[in-house]
Amino acid sequence: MRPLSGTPGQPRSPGAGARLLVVEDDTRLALLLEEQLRLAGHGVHLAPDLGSARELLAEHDFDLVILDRNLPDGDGLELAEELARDEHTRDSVAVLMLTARADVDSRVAGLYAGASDYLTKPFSVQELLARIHVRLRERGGAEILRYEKLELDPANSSCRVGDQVVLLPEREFAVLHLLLKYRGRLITQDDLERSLYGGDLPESNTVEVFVHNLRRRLKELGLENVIRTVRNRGYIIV
Amino acid sequence: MGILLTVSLVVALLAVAIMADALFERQQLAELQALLDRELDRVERLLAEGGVGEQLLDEAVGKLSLQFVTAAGAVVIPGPDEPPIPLQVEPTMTTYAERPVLVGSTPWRLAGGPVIGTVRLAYDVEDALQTRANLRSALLVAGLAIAAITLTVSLLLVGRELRPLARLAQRADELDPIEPVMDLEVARDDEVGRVASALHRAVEAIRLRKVEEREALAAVAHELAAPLTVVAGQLEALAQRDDDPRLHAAHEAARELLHTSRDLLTLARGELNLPVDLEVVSLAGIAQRVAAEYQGVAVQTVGAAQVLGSEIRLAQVVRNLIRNAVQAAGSGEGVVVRVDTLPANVTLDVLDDGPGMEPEVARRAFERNFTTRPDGRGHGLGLAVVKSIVEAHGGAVELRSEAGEGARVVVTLPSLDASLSNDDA
Repeated sequence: MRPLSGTPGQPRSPGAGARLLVVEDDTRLALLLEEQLRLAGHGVHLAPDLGSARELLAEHDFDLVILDRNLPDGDGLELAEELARDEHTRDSVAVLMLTARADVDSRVAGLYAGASDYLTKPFSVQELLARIHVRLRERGGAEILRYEKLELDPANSSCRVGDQVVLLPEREFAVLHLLLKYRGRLITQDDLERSLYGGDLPESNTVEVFVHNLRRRLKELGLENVIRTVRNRGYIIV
Repeated sequence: MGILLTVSLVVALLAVAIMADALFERQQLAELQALLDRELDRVERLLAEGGVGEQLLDEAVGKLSLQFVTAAGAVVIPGPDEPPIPLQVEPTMTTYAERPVLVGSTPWRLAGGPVIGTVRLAYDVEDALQTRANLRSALLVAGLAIAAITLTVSLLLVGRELRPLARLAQRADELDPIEPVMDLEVARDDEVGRVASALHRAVEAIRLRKVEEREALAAVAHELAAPLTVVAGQLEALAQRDDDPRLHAAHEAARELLHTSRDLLTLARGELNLPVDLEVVSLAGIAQRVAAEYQGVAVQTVGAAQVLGSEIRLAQVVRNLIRNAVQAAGSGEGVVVRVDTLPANVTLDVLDDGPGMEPEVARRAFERNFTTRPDGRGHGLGLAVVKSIVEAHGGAVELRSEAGEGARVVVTLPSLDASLSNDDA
């Protein structure tokens, strides 16, 4: 296990000076990433396998885990799943997978509901930095999400439009939350189903119904064309 | 094949008809000659028994004409007014009084006395010739009828027999070399069925081999990917703090290597067909970012050119086009990138003032091809990737070029607005 490197105590703001954990068994690649990420202003810890990674996660807080798939003691995906399931890390720790194949594991997609972020090798360091930036920006779990006069507070599960408090059913809130959290990204029906129910719903249009109701509600509140449809793919808030 | 059958049949029929006609003719002639010989014998006997000419004449009826002609050529019986029948010893076909006849003769011998002339017989064969003509007509009609029937039947039957082959041939023509699939089942036990089965097996073997090759390539690619990332990354890091031109050259080359190999791997892994992670991206932003990596490339943008797409993939598109253009023009100075925003589309134009290419080459430029072109422009790979990605985004790409006039690639993508609707699903 490598000793602490990088500067501790950095502010948790997206993009600059984040606390990163790089789980990569290829030493040369790990060292390259460590150097480049430090130069970009981030704090970096290295772990060569899942075991060391878990130890470090137990000892420190991280903003983002860069995770290789092929590790000596298992598939990086396992750790990604653990992080997603653990309520302490689910909304506070973002994950970026490094894969040599881009047949994106649907489980990865499901974990992070459309924000299935991965980088295929070979990649350039610039691409990595850009992707880190995006992941950190999207991760914010407790921040208030805004769209015009709509405000969503995930921490309190509350929603306001202007001055008016809006009561949303739990599932509709969850749908709106997801779409706003990953604003600008396509969220598929599968993503929504998995996020709401933990798995795919066979042959069901439940999600469509939620979206439909949500749209109607928003329209009544004077917000039209917030949730856009991508035909046969899913939904997006631009 | 039906034609061949019919033609050979017609030729056979013709040969048969000719033979039949010739045989008939010979047979007819033989019969007529025999008939004439018999008459001549009869005349001889009657003469020997002392019969008189008129008697004989009475007995000669119908088609037979009888003449007693002196040695000098004068016709005694029936009379001097009649022209003499031509003199032939052996029965022979000839013309007499404008009619076709068979003539023969025998010596005119007075009873027990000297030969004073010839007895000549002419047999009118007009009817016989007519019969032969009728036969020919009959043969002709029959022949035509047979030919017509055969042609129809052969077209129907042979056509039906061979249609599966024709279908197989069509499927073989339509075969996609990238993904060869032969899914035509011909459940027959004969030669056609065997051909179909054999073809099926052959195509399947090829397809499996291709899958193996692709997997082998992917495995190799896997090995290369990590070291490649390290090489490119380290060179980039070094180049940032050291001005050594060799280092920069190495960095440039490593960067090109990174992008080319990524294209190769993407194609080899068949990843271009995967659903892309879609998000709102600005094509103008991507163009500016990527173009900045190539010195001298001019970028002109109108609007943000927002589309729904994959940032990484679209960057790959822009990069491949700029790389090709820079390679063709010789430097970034000869390359212009334009991004335009229209209500329904956004467009990306990449122009270079390089040597251009013949229109036929331009048309084939997007073909998937792992080999570099003879002119070394490397269009084979980069443009294939561009086309795949653009089409996966619901867009289109076009290459316009003429020899000596540079080249222009036009990419059209649906605008963000055009990709979104407000309908429920």
